Amino acid sequence: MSSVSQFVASVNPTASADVGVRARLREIDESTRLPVLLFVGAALFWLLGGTFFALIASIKLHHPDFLGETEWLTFGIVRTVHLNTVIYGWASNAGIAVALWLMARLCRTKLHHGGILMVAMVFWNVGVLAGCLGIMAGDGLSIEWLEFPPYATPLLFLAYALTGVWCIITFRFRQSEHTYVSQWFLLAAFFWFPWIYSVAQIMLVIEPARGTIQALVNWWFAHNVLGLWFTPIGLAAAYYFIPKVLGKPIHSYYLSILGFWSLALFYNWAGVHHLIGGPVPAWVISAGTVASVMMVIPVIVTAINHHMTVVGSFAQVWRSPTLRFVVFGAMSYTLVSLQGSSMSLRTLNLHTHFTHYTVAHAHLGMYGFFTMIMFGSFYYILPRLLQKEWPSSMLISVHFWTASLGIILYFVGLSIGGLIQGMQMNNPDIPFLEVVANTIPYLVSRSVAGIIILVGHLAFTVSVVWMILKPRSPQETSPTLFRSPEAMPLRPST
Amino acid sequence: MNDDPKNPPPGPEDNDPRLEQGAVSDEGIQKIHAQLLREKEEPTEGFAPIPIFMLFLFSGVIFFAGVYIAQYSGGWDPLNYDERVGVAAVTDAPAAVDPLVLGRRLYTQQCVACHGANGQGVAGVFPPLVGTSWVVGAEERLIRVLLHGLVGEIEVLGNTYNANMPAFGPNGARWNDQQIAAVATFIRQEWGNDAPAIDPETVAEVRSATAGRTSAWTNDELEPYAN
Repeated sequence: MSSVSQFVASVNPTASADVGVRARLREIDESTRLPVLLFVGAALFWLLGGTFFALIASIKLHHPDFLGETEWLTFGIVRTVHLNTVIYGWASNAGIAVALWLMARLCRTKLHHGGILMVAMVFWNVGVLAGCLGIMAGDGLSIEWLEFPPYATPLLFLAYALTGVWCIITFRFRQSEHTYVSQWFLLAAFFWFPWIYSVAQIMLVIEPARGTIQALVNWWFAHNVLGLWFTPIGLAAAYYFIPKVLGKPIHSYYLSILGFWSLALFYNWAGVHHLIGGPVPAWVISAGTVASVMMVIPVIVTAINHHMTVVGSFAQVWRSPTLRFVVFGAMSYTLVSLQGSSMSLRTLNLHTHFTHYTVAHAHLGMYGFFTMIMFGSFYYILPRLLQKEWPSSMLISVHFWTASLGIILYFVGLSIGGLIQGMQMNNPDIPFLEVVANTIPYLVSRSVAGIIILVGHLAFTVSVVWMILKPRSPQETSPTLFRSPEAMPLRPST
Repeated sequence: MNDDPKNPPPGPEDNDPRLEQGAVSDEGIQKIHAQLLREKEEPTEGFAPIPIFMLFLFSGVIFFAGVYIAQYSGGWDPLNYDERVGVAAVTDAPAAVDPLVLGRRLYTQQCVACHGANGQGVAGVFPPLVGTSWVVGAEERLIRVLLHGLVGEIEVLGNTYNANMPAFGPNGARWNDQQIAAVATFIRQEWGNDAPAIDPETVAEVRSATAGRTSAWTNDELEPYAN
């Protein structure tokens, strides 16, 4: 395969060795540098903040007295702040950073007026900060995933509008004739998010709908933040970085297109399965269940497409930090989505609803899938923006192993604990308090996993700060990989 | 379209005044941008066909979806919250409820806090349920207590108690006849008690006989029904 691509490169005048093409890439990267770096910096800040709040919330579940006398650190507030910092702080900032860079790269065009994106970044993060402080002050709304007080959301929406419009303008300036699958997902995400966010704001906060419609809109929104905002960005990054680093084409255009449209068609129905057993018309829930099961199609299609692209290059996946994180994320996507489909079936949902099993599932999605892909993307993007190499492959190793083992421990522990909890809650002979006490060992395992993950996040932060501060050296020309390049038969690009 | 390979159409970099062709091949720039020079081409797409087994998988998933939505649509009725309505097995005959199972569940939820897991109550505070005529004696008095509650002093097995028994009928927990009958039957047959079961019909009779009652009973009021 590689000899074929080398041959193609040797007869193609615009292929890799062409300095003009590379210089063009440099200009594109230059135009994205400041805005993307600012979004990355903000994302890192919220990542650390979100992890600290997560740990406090986790410890409180097995040691309720921990920080119990501080009013703004009670469980209800800490958990809410964790969720919002991670969703709107970490994941959205990281997603926007990666999306802007990918969009410019794939459109082969510069970002115009990057200053406006920096303004957007400031608005977005002031909004998130105001929202979190508002929640801590007790102004939070009691709507899950939309807890930010009403005075924070206009800032977010304005910032979002600037970013989204910029992404679409960049697409309109594209120099490439072909629209790559990552671009479909990015464009879709930038249209879908304002749709779900504004509908949810209008129907829940500004002009609240009545009765169970509220619950329906709430879960339609909360599920789609993951499904129509984070998932497309995560998949766009996976669809880009896997073939990019391997230097192979993505396996099948037909699978990509099937995966994209089936996701677009089914995902936004699926959120209703959160209301199984609730006072919602039976057919609505059944439709949600069916849509959740139909999600098997895009998931399997994406899994095959990624797997067939990677197949034969696993050694390279293992060596490249970017690929190891991204492929871990892609595998988690398959796992978490198939698990999600099964959880929407009433027979299993009967046991898993209102248990820690759901929490484990959510974290496999947001962390195992999305966050890991964002980490992998950063490992590729930052050397290009800073024109420096990662300072320490040891720190990258620490980051990978803590993050991956941490989320595996988290997921396995809470899934088992959640299933036991669900079985026992359905058994009327077991008093509720006994069920609660039985979950404690699993909650402790979650806190341990949280500490491991925190270590990884600190390692990653040190890596990034060190890389920004260290001087640029023209001598280093090879990427920082997991093993020294001399020991390798093939040199991957990063 | 210009297809002449010797005179390619001007690329975007040719029009960019900031980009001199001399500078881009400069060695220093190449070194600084090693990250760019070593990276692979922007990704492209292959055109492998969709594997045939996917077709079977999709057919299976779609078939399942069709059957599921047909089975559990609840007749597409916006007021129907129970997906099983319309499924033959459920509508034909509601599953028979074992009063002892239902009674034990209700007792564990509502009664156990005062009367204890063994029905022994709390000495001097809450009366026991084992071996007392209040439980295994007259049906009507027991049902009246459960429906409307009991206040004031009573004597149980030689000890005097003065606590508030809450109502579980229309003025309290709003249990239906089946629930009242189940919990009454449960306490009459548990812990060595061995009195006949109480039917929901008996509860319904007492309920209609005491309709309009809004306060709890006292010992004196229940005296006529003690036997």
